[in-house]
Amino acid sequence: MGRSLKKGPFVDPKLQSKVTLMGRSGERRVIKTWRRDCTIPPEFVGHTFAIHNGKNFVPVYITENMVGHKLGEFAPTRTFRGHAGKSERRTAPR
Amino acid sequence: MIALAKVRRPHGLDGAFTVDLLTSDPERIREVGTVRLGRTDEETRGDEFHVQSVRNHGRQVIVTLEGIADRAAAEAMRDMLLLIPEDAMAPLARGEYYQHQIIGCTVVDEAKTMLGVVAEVLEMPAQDVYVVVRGDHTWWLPAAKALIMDIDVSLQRITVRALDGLLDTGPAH
Repeated sequence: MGRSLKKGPFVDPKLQSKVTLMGRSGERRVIKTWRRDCTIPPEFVGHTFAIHNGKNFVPVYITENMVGHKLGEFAPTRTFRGHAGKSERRTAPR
Repeated sequence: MIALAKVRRPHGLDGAFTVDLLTSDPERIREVGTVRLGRTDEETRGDEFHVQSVRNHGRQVIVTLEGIADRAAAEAMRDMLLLIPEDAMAPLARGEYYQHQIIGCTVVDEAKTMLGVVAEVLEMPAQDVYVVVRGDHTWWLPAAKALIMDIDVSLQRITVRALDGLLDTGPAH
């Protein structure tokens, strides 16, 4: 069953206040967090979070299409490491 | 040579086998038509094999090569790579790079201070993450346009906007 609409999405108050403070000062830094269950509100867009996956802090730059998802969705706890040599796998900054 | 896929286990009795794709486009194996087999991308063994069929089976991709006609032959190929020559690689779109072009690049900040060398590319749901090593220290760089200002593969250099705390990402210190 989904979360009650009356309560609204869960956003960690500590993370929210950090983002609000950074917004006011115009400062940008990476915010380390263990709160994988925190929903991404629109204010987080443009900020970078280092989300703990149980072992590492996965850096995630928040974009508009991530709003409404949980932080933990973007820091998988199991990492598939592919072929180490030359392959046709591509990468591009998004 | 460039690896397109890694052979996993045999599928059925007619020499078909499952593969782990090492290309961003699953259609590529069908497109190239012929592949070589090798244990690493440095070496090749035997002749070229014509790709007979490529099909999806759930989340797996099943490949059949001409001349590999029974399960024992497919089993012997386990963990081998399907290879193509470098000149047969698919063209890249603007702003795209092959992962092996990024690996080995030096990461510098706006002041040209060296922040490390890319050792690995991890595919993550939000953005790819570049594992950067500087001495004993490892940190992770998200491949986001807002943080990566420039990638110059000819100079093997990536210029980044080094946010405060970015070098503390990756393995928990």
